[in-house]
Amino acid sequence: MRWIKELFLYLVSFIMLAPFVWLIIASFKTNRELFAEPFGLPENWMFDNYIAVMTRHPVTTYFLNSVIVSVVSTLLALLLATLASYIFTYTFRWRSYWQLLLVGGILVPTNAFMVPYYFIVKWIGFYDSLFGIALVYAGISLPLSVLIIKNYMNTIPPELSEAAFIDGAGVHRTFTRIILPLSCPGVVTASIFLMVTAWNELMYANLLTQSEGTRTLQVAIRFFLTTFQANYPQAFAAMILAIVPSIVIYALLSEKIIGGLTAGAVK
Amino acid sequence: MVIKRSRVLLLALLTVLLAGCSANLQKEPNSKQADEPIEIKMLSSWSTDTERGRALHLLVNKYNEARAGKVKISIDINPDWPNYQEKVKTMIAAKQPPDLFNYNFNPNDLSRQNSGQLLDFSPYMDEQWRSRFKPEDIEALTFNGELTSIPYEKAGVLFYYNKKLFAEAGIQTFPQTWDEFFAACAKLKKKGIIPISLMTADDSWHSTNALTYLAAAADGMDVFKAGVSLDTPGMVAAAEKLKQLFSYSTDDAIGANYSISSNHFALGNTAMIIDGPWLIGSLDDELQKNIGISAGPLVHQGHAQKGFIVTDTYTPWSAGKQASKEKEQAIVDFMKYMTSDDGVRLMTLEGRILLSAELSLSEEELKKAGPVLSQFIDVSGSAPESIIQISRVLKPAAISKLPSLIEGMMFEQYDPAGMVRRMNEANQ
Repeated sequence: MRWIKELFLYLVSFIMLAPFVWLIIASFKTNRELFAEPFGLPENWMFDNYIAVMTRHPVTTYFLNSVIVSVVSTLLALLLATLASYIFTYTFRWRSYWQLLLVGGILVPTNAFMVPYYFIVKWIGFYDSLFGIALVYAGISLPLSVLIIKNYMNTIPPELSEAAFIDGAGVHRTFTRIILPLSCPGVVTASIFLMVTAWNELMYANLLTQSEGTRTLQVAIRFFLTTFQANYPQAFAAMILAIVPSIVIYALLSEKIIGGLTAGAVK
Repeated sequence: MVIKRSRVLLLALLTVLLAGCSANLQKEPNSKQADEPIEIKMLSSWSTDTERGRALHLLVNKYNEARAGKVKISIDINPDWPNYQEKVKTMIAAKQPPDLFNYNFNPNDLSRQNSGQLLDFSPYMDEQWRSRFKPEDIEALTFNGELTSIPYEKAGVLFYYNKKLFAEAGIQTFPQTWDEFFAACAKLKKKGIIPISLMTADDSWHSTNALTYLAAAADGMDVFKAGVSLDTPGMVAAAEKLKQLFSYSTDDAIGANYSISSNHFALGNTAMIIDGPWLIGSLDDELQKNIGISAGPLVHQGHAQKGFIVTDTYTPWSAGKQASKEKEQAIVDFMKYMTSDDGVRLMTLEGRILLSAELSLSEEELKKAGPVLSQFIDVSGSAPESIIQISRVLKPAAISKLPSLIEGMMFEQYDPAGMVRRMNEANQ
């Protein structure tokens, strides 16, 4: 029985890893090699594609832009989501409707907001700025982050808050000293989702930026796959560079993510 | 104390936001200092990784040098064409159109023209400027008396064939009829050569090029005319032949995208492809020596003339309405420069773009253009008639359905007649 389990695990691992391994191998090929033998190994393992990616466009700037946008949008979304989640632990009039209104945003397709987001961002003067995209990402991600963090906060025994109140702590102090530290795993889970979503997002990055100085890595990858010319191995090299941070973050924090997601499941 | 600190933080946040808003409101478009040049932002998908992108940068740099201190054009590149088009539409919908942008013209989608956000060039279209264009091109882009788009790119989509591979299969000349064409395909296949590159992903470009040639050869140049039913025996026959053509294409043709399909031809894996002049930049010098260019084959008792060609749609340039008259005039001045003889020459020879504006090239210039582009110019120039590619003229719903309809036909979900019927329904 054990060998079936192992075989299943290996099979699943292979299915998941094969495309990524293929992508890595293809990034070391020439365009000709790729089309002549898509599944073969490169004749010479060369870094020309990576060098071309790094030298033809200011990829370091794009990389840094992606980092800034991901971090700022995550911090903004977390700030709002933790506060919103905390308030939903209290009982007040229309609470469930407010909650539904906020979390229901998950169901709305983000494309629907293209025109209003563009208009608002331009109006407040943040068009073609990294903060503008971060602001929009924070807004888009708010429902999901509220859902994750609120669910985690619901697992914290209310007696802790009550004890804090008896000891003289107010609403804010209870939040900053008791609830927020205890919600850390949920916050980390939400932040990883937010970071990865912001890192991989293309549509709004494309819509809300224009100049080279604000271009993110995802937008820059399109330079290698234009309508008039496509160099797949170079595009693959750019993709590898773009994927690596997501994998590193996930690998380092995978336990927290799973912990955050399953928290309360066996309460 | 905690509450006070929170309030201070909230106040600070609001101040920052309001400062951001007010900073933007204070910056009026007309507040240009007398010594500052007029800045025009040009949106383009032509990155400098492509020949046309490099040529456009060269042209803009020349213009900026000539108007130094007065006008400054800057190009903002957005290399992803579909996303770029979506972005422009969003900007127009938000009533903040770009200063300058290009797009694929479709007579069935006049959302840009009807937005009221585009600059009308007709008051500036004097006789001298008008003479640069063919009257029918100006007419095609004029709506309700307003010319909101300047004709620019209108490239032929022609047959590229690899003479070396043709010779290996014992074929000396390019087929003149579709019967000869399929006979040539059979000969190539027999020699182990894949006859033609096709694809079905994205807009199914190479396949819909073939479909357009087949349909136009049978039913003539009005086959896709607005209001005319697509469900004709000629279209059904075209769909049947397209299906047959897939048996002469690569194994990955169903599902392949433009890059895969064109790379097959560029690497010598296939003997033919139907594409525009932008493909030339992807062909290496050695291959270019062996490339022949041809117009479309005919069908028996068809309605097309010998030498007819399919063209891509107009890809004109448009501009957003401007609050400043000075800026409006600067945009017009730049458009005149772009469509001037020098501008068109530069874009044709360096960027390998075939434009709507008039241009006569000397023998020496044609030679400099290279063996493929010179043939391209020759075949395009001598075509007695032309038709715009099917993906550019149908209604948006039919355009988006067409690739999946072709795939459905290839997967035997319906026969060619069923495919045509569904396409016609989507085009209503």
